[in-house]
Amino acid sequence: MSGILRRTAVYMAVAIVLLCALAPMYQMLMVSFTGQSEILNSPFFPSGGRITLDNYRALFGNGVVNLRIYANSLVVAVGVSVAATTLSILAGYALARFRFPGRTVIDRGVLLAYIIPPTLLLVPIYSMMVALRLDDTLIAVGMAQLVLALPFAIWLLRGFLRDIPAELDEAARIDGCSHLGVLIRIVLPLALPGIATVAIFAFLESWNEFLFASVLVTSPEQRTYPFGLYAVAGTYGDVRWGEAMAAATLGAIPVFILFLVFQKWIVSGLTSGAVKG
Amino acid sequence: MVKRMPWPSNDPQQSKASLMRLRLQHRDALFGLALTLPALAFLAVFLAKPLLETVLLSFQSSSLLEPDQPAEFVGLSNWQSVLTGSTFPSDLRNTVVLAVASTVLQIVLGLAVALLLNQAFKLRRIVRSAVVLPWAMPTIAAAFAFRWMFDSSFGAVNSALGLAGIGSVPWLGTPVTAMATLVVAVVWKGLPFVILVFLASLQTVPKELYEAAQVDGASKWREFLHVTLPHMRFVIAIVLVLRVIWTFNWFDMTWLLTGGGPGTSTRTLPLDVYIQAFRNFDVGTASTYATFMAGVLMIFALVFLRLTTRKEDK
Repeated sequence: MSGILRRTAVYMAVAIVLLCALAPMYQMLMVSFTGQSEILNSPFFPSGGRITLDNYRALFGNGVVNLRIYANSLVVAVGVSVAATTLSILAGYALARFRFPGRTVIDRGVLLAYIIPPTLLLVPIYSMMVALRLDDTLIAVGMAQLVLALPFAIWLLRGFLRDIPAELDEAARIDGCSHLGVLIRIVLPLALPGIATVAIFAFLESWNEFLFASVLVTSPEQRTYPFGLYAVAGTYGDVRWGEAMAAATLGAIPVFILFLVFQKWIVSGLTSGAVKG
Repeated sequence: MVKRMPWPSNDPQQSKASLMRLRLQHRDALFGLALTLPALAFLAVFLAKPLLETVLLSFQSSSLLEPDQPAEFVGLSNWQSVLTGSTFPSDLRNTVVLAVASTVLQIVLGLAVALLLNQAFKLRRIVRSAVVLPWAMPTIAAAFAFRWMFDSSFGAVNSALGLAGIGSVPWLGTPVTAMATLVVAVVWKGLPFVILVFLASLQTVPKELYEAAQVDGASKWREFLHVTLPHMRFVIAIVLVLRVIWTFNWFDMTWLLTGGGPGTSTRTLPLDVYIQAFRNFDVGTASTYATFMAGVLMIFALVFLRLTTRKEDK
């Protein structure tokens, strides 16, 4: 009897947790499929059960959101991801394997970077980009986002690479493999899950990043998804909720798919650092 | 500490070997340095240099509107005007309230949900994926969804309260409820990370400890208190530090959900930096706020690490 009670309690608790976790996503989807005239009396379901694609049609037609924001976000996120992965493989490998002067300082500095408020970098990076005549370009946005993503990427990969036995390197070295050869032929294939984790992380971080993407860019053609969405629908007042939510959904779906497909790697990346200490 | 390279000894046979080793170590060291160089150079230019510049700018007067005008050294006057400013106490309080409240809630709820998801039930894998999904939701989309759900006239939250016979609450319209809504949104977005870390940590508790507790006839609650919690205390401490720092620095959710309002009731220090720099174009004041934030976090991290490591030593 107490077994049944216990099981019922577990399932009820799970249902409540699921409801809280998924409600905002459900609301976003629901509003995006509700007609403009019915949104205001559809708190839980589309009023009268009428589902419509009008909001999406409006987006692709003469919509409030420039669809370029998704292409821009994709370009920047891929760039940030590739750059962060490359740089962190090199640095992470060096930190995991070699003793060299300044190694400990770099090691600590990478963790220390987590403390630095991103807002602290706003003005200097903005001024630097203006001086380099890179302001209002996607390159500037990508570089700023790389600054935010790189320290964590290095730290994560260093951990992954340290777990690969160094004896493998030494064996290959004795067989006449060069240092770079060891890295490319022996270490990289073994570190593939870690590398994938870092690549996905950097991609997601860039895709979601709002602050620098909003400060470094002025013209509408250079906006990425978060700022593009904010610029048209973020100000208070007459928000066209249906279209705003449809635009939000279009930017959220790719990330959800990426997350669900690569979940195993992302989870191992998120937890490895904190649990191992 | 960096390990010193071994000094060659006087024995000729040995010195030859150690000289070889020394040369090899030198080459290794050079290769290691060369590999870190690209990342290091990039971070030096775009992280370390901006950090130093901001600290220096907090002692200078400069405007974003006149970039060609050289910055003028003004001593401590930025610091004085920031620290004695009329909104500083409430902005600092908002930042601390948001960081502490959302961190405490994330840890308590994170523990509860992790324990729940650690039970055996049907479809557990799918449920776990769904519960962790908010981590991937773009902040802008989350802010939109929360703004809509907590809308005072049309939102689902007030409609649900209405069904329960409770009158509508102006969630984002009054200071206290706006802060509460912000905390809820931050917890929602931050909880998946905490759940994942705690779930992973739960797997590392030795099974024998639970068996021993069961032999002793301990209740589930006492088992949690005396077996699970002590085993997880170090992980909990790390998560606590990481979350406080993260929330303290987080600009996006606050800006996108409340914009610091109503009035200045949810304005936090990251918003101050942004507003001073890009609304008032006052770089000196913005830099002072930013340097203050970094200083507070540095002290917090050092004190906390000192406290937890000392406890570990005992």
